[in-house]
Amino acid sequence: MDKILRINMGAQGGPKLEEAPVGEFAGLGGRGLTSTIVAREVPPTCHPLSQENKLVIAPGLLSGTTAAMSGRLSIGCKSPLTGGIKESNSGGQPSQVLARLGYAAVILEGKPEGDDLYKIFVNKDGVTITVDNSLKMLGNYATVEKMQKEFGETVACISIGQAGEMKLAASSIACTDMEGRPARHAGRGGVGAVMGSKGVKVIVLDDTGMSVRQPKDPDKFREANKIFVDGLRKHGVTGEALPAYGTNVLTNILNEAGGYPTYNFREGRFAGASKISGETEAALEFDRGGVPTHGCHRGCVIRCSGIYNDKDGHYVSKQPEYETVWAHGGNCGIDDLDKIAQMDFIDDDTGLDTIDMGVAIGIAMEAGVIKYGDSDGAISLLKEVGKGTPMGRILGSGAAVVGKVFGVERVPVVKGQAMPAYDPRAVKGLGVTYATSPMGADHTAGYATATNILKVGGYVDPLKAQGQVDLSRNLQIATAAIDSTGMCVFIAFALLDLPETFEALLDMLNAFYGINLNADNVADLGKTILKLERDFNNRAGLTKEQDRLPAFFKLQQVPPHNVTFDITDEELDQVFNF
Amino acid sequence: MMPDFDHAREVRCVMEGIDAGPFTSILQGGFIVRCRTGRTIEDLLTQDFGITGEYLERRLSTVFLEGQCVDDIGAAVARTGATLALSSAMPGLAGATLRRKGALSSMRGSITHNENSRPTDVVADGFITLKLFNVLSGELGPIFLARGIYVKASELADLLAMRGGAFRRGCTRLTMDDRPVDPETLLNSLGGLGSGLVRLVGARSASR
Repeated sequence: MDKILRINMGAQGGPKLEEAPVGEFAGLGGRGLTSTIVAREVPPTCHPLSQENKLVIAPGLLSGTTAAMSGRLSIGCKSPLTGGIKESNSGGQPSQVLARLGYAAVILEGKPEGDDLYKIFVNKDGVTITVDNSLKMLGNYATVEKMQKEFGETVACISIGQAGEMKLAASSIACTDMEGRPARHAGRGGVGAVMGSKGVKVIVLDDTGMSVRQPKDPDKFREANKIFVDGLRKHGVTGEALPAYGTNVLTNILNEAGGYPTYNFREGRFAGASKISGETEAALEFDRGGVPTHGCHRGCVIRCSGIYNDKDGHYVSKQPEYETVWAHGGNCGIDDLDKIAQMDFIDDDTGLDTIDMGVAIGIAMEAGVIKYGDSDGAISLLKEVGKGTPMGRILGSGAAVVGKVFGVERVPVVKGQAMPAYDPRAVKGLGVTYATSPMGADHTAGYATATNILKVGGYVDPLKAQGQVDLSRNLQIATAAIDSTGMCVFIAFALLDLPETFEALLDMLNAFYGINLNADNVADLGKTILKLERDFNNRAGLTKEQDRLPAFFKLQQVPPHNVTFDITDEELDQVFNF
Repeated sequence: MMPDFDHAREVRCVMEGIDAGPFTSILQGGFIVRCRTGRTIEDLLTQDFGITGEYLERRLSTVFLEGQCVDDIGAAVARTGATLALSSAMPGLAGATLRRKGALSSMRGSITHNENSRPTDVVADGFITLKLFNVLSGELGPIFLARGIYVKASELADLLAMRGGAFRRGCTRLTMDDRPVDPETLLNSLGGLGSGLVRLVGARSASR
């Protein structure tokens, strides 16, 4: 992983390749690398779909090694959805394969003239870029199927569906999983539209003939990885809850807490929650011969995903995650898992962010386009996006646009990005992160719950109330650092409770690169990344006035607890005071 | 108001070993148990239901009383008619935030349960609605099923309709009011009871 591939899609005479040593970017990976390159090289005020924007695709620091959980792929750019910097990451195979091919990053630059569509093939012998207009307006599944026929069953693909080709602001980038299905997505921020603006439909990666990346100190690395895996396996979240039920195990407790946004954030509880919970989903999958415990990439030991079959045992989609089940389920008043799984497939195939699409449809329901609970109507609306109809293009532009078009006041977005599945009036600390993250409303921006272990911001005494602002700041710093390792953020739970697991993560990094990283260095890395991102946003015109939740969260109480979001603007402005 | 327990029909499901699996939807959606109320959650769970303190410390990570997060189960009082939800460790920032005595508990301060007991609290026969989430459904479900839980007939009918196969695999013998019944007949009978209460009992087969 010692080189960077730049492809100028707008070069005269056709796309031009340039490979260079990683150089000044050495030691950076994942979000650390994507945000550094975007902050340095992309003019903050550029149009996100212009030739000036860049799409940076980067494996994590430990991707391509035998380290468990190291398969997250970061994709960065200026976001067409938020207007700020974006890092969206995904599971699946491409991160591991790209790293084994030796690339720290692939950067798509420029913009081609004309409307040709390109495919890029990368293997040990080099890079080939070809026009392939037969791929136009294909879904991700059909695109990947064609690539597998052409290049072999074992390739990994990074692709866009129709939404990305149409450059819609809620479009995602798909990554293939272990079965070669394009079911893992860098969903947030409209990264698919930026790939579409570069004229690239698919990047095909083949690591045949390449070997696993080798650490500087194999013995120490192996030992650290063993401790790390043991920690993940023995922890109640990573060793039990996530493998058994997936992330959707959260439905019941968020609903019980009154923090489960229902009917477009009108209420905090959904009567049909138990019909779509993780417990129900896993039982249904088991009954139908599906798989409730399944990893999304080689080296995953948590295995929070699964396979969702219909009642006849046929594949419908990968197991819809909590955010998806909520967005298309409770948020829209839909309590039918079969319909939700169908919508998950349509999102994946068309290349759409499931959160933004579920929220967009919820807003359309509030506007009366269809009724709450109308699952067939919701499926029809989603299909409009892939067809490119005017209604489909409006929906595919995301929740904020849908709210404007239909004149709805209650539009749960921050910096234009739809809010995830936790009502910030009930869990206010999450609201602080939604408001202030450089990424827009993003639950994963403050996900690294291990702040005490990481020693970010000092030790937090669980028996004393600490300001939500301080906690949010610390969580965002820790998360930015973990996002740079390429590690799945779910490792944070084991790090939170098992100090030896965090030490093992540090030991793996140190043994692999021959360095002496400590907890302070990790925290510093997180701060550096956040400052870069924040500075980019400031220069793009996103200032503290955009670090706010929509006013309705302050004005409208959410039942059953009848609470509002009452963190002041002055407090929110203290998050980035480091 | 006390539900009409005396007129509840009884459905008994005989199993090789009491397995909560077929009953997941009922256990997570909420069922009624009769117990001594007016005392702390810890006392209720250990003394009435025989769950050990060690288990509670090790496995009971997340507790809701009336939808509010409980930090101290030794102080929060379960009164008759209350709804109590129990879960093991949960993922996500939200999961970490909602867990009891967690480092991030201040992030959900407005929905945290105030654990003060009241002078009027009296330990007496009563009932609560209980919900079991996550792996606790499988671990604690059999305890409550063996003791007998009360659910609406319509909820049991929904379960039979949705997961009939699992139900048939799990239950070697079914009775309704001590008379053998097959799942289809049971489904029809439950349909006529609407929201009337049914006492559901998971019984271990005599062969074990």
